[in-house]
Amino acid sequence: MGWLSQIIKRLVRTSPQKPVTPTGFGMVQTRKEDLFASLGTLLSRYRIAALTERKGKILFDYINDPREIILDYQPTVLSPKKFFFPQEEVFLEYTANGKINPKIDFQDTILFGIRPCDTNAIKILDEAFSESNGDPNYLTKREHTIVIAIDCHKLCDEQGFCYKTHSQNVTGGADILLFDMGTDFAIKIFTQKGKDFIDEYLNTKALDPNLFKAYQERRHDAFKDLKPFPHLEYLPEIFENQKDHPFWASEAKRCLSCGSCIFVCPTCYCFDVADEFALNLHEGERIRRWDACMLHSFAKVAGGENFRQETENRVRHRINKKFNYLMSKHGQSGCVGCGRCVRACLVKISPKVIAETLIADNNVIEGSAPDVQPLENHHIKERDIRLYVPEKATLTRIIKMTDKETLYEVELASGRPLGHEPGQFVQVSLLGIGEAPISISSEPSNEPRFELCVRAVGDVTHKMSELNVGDTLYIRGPFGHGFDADILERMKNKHLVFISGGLGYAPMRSLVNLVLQTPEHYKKISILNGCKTPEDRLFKDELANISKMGGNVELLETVDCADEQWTCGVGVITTLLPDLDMVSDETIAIIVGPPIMYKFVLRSLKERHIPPENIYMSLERRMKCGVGKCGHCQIEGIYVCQKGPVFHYPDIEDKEEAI
Amino acid sequence: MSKPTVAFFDFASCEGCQLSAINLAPQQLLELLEVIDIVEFREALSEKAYHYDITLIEGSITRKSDIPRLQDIRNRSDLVVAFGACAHIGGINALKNFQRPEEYKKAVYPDTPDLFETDIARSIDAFIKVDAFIPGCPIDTDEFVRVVKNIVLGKNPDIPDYPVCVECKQRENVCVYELGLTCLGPVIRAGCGARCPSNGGYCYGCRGTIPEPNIYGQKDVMRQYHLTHDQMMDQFKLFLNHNKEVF
Amino acid sequence: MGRIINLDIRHITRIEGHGNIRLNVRDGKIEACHFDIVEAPRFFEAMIRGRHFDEAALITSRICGICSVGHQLASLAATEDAFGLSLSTQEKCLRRLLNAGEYFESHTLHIYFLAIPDFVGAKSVLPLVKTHRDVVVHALKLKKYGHDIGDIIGGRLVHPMASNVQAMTKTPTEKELFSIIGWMQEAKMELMLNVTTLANLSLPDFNRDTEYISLYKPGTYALLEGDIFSSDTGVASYKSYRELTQEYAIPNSTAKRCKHTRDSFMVGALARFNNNYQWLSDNAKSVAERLNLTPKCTNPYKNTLAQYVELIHLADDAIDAAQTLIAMAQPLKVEERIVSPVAGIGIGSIEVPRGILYHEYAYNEKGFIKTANCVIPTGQNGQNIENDMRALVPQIVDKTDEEITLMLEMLVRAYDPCISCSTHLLDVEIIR
Repeated sequence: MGWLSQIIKRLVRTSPQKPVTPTGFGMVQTRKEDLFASLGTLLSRYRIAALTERKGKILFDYINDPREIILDYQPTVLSPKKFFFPQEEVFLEYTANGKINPKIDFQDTILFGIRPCDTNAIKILDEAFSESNGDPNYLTKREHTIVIAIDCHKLCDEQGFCYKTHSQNVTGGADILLFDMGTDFAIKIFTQKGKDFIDEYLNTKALDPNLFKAYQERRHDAFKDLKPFPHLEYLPEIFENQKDHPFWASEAKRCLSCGSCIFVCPTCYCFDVADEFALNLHEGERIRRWDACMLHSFAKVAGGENFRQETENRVRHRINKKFNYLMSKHGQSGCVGCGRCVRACLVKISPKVIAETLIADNNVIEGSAPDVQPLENHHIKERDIRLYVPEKATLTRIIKMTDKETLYEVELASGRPLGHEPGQFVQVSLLGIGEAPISISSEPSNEPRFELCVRAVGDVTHKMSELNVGDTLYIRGPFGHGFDADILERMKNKHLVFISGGLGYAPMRSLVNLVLQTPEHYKKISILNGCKTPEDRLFKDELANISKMGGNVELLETVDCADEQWTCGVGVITTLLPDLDMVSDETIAIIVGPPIMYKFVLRSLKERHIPPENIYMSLERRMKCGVGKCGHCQIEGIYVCQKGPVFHYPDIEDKEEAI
Repeated sequence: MSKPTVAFFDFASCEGCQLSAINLAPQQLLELLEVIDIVEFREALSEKAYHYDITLIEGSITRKSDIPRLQDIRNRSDLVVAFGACAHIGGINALKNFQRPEEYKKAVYPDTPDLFETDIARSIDAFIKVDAFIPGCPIDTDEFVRVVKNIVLGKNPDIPDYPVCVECKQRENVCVYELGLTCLGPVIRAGCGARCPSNGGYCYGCRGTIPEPNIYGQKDVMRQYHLTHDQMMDQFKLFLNHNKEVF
Repeated sequence: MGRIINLDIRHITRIEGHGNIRLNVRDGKIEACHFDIVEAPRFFEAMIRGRHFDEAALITSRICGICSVGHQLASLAATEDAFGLSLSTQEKCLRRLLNAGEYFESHTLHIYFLAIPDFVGAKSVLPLVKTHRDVVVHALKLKKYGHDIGDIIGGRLVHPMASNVQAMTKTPTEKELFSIIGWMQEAKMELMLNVTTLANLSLPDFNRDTEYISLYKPGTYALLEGDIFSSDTGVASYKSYRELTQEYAIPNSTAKRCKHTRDSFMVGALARFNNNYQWLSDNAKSVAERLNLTPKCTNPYKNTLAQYVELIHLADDAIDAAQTLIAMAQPLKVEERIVSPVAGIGIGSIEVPRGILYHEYAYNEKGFIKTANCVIPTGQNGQNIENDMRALVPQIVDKTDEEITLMLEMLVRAYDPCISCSTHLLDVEIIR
């Protein structure tokens, strides 16, 4: 992405981690008391988190003395992910006058005694926080932590079902793995970091093969009758095929939507973002907090639309995320069978039971198992410490468009051009108020100024409406996938049909105005725009000019309720399509509008035999981070802020949640 | 930014919410007074103002003679905040709504049952427009400060719409159902930091339900934990008596 | 002379709850002198009928936000009395701490926020933020200690959730107990350093002897358990509380008042001080001396000073309770609660900041409440306040209306009345 290279990357870490194979470091052995003695001395250098007891609760917590460590595993409410991705975390600190600094609260840490399920979960989190954009906070904490895991030689309790997805086996996510052989631990080293740690701090001896063999036999006996899911590798397909299975509805009826399953899940990583000023209204923080897709308002946007209104959709999304979306990407189940969600659920909704039900009812398995690249053991990826830091900008022009919408012209203080593609968006920040995703309304340009057309619906957009020319706001972006060079190239010499409704013309305009700079490159340009009333139309003057352009450019407008002066169509947007002169395979349709509009427009286009390959659309979703991390904008596992908002219709045609 | 004027009023209540509002560290309270101008606080103040930017009303309405005063306060306020469970959802006062007036009057004043005017207890939004609410019995001090801050900044009050379980799980509490108690946490609005389940109690619903609570599921859970219908209803009656879905 | 004074003070400010004073004086003669409580009645005694014993404290706590701990402790004591339960040392210590928390919150609020502004000619504590910032910060600190102790012991001070029949469902850690000791030591120091603030207040020189009633347990400054002591008649069993709070009708009115041997009595800090002075801690006694406060004191305005003395005593007592707990095996276990309901009547009598409070419940054999009766201190003081007013008015009748108003308001405030508590209204005059 162009702009990324324009900003200075401050990488916290430079040397790449060496690739690792578990066998590369071999195995050793140590006496338990030696290990605990070492941990005792290391307390001065490291924070040590381990399984312990606090006020009657068994949990992972920082300890003051190795004697506080509980070795016999008892399931905890929360997983150790909280040490890398805490329940609540301040990631920006700022002052009202614009001093903004990223904040990462980290310290050298030993995470001791986590179990195989949680190591497998860490592998998934590592990937989630590394892919697309490295999350500076997670990755920094992760890098400063030595993970010492302990193998499970038996199932923890009747709710645990790690064996269903092979998650009882450690394949990464830890630096060191211990096997409890009585007075001694056998030690398997996974990473260079683990090796260095052992070499420096631990008295070891050669592994006693007989003792280890005995351990392995004991473990084997405990797990030998516990079989994985049948057709484990086909789970994504099985889940994809059964999105309308009646079990979803019956589970949803019982589900309390309390979110407990998500908060206790070791592989859930979605978060919400909030701004908070101190009481002096001068110093502020931007905070992220765990969020849960099972909660009612998780997918609700400021405008009021809720993209996962029904409990059934939320239950389906949650389980599919684990067994379908993540697994089809990584070949490893996103559910590690730790059983925490089942223990936490008052109505005992269980991923295991759901998977078993769907597996049993699935009789078609086609072809061979999907060939996916399995998750490698953790590599620290590049990360940009300024990923979440917005840059200063100034309002240079404000034009009131309608009662609700205003056009803002914004100039970045750095003087750099925004460098966006049509269809992309930026995150607009007002310090102390919050951040909101706003589509860019202006076409790409080399000027440092760009335009945002905003409807006042939430805190940020309401507050924007109180600003004046010269006031400061803060920008991150541009983000997302817009109408990129490939799409623009495809559009050449085609009949472009722009179909927008309501506020949809705001992002559409970035493309329309670009195309109208060289109308001769296209066969024909038809701009179809619909609104509630003539008063609600955006960019009235520009539309008037377009209507006068003539040549191969035409403007067709319609409103739901007309007034006396209105001379164009009356009715919904689709009333404009039947009479439009277009040749199906020479036409490219672009749709942007309110969620309700897509279904009807797509149906009309289908009636006019426009092939799906010739349709592009921009989808609105709730976005908090803009960089593929917070999880709010997902459509069946696809991050709209990364793959969208502009989609090629064939890519989402079969996604029920998309339209 | 000029300081908004803030007033506190109370109707039938224990005044514990007003008390909780000033349960701040000295520095915090002094800072709060830099942000707002408290002009009416009968409990701690004997000044009277005429117009208020923000009015916080504690207490429920239990008699007709209080309605004109309530309406007068509304007319003199830009923004009215229902302050605490009594004003927000009727609160504990509404427990008497399940008894016949002649019964409860006689129980307390056997010789003079009609001496005092009383009606069913209602939340203030039954009579006047309410712009925001701060739930809880009593309100949570941190939440109060946050809401006041947000109102001053022109933001939404930011009251959570997720259930108590969210905060309870994040504190790694052992579920109170496992401890042999019953809890309304799954359908009750969070924001209290799951204070009751975290301190040896259970949630009895003082903050009201979340939007779209699964009452069917909640009752199902309580049945599974062997509560009789009466026991279940007794628990709901404490603070959810306003909720038609429950009864 | 022919001067007619006609005062109608609606909604006296800086007291908890709504009260009115009405005074008519013609030619120096009092025609009417009333202290009315106009708080909306809330019917708690009716609301808890049919509720389970585990909910009694939770519900009655809501009678009053200022003394919710007191209502809870009285409620628990009544239930425990009914079921014949006794408390462990651990539980007693925890309750002493929780109670100390409430006294710190309540007394501080009264002394500094409600009473003191009158003496410095301020309408509230707010202007003092500018003029007497150090005093305000000192007061806020003391009040915060109270809330913080409440958080640790009860989960919170206003309507705690951890206090339950027989045993708390939460225990403090050793570290938390040490912080409580630290705060209380600091509080004591602050209070002793600031005695002059109180000593310098020019309290009206008004004395009227009355009957003083409080809890009584020889050897202790009784707050949480004991029998009842009257300065007129001596010791009586707590079971006979109804005789000590006789309700009676006044002529031409259906409203009721409380009396014992005389036609009114006083409860609260001054009554406790007068009756139990000898068992105050040494620090508290020395502060009383510096405030020139000695038993028996008959000036109701000095109730505020007695509260100040009590804070010192409460700090000493809280430190003692915390130390007792620390001496036990750590961490403190949450005690098992085995409660078997018994049909019968139980009475709980507790000294709350404003005076002695009684809860009485009749239980059925399943542990559900059949009937309840709560007698609150403000109700008990009602007639005494009015009697004080009647005695005071002739002494100040030559002053201006404003001065009379202020002195009457100050008198009412000195009693620290808590009218929210009015489970049933004992002294309302209906004007038709």
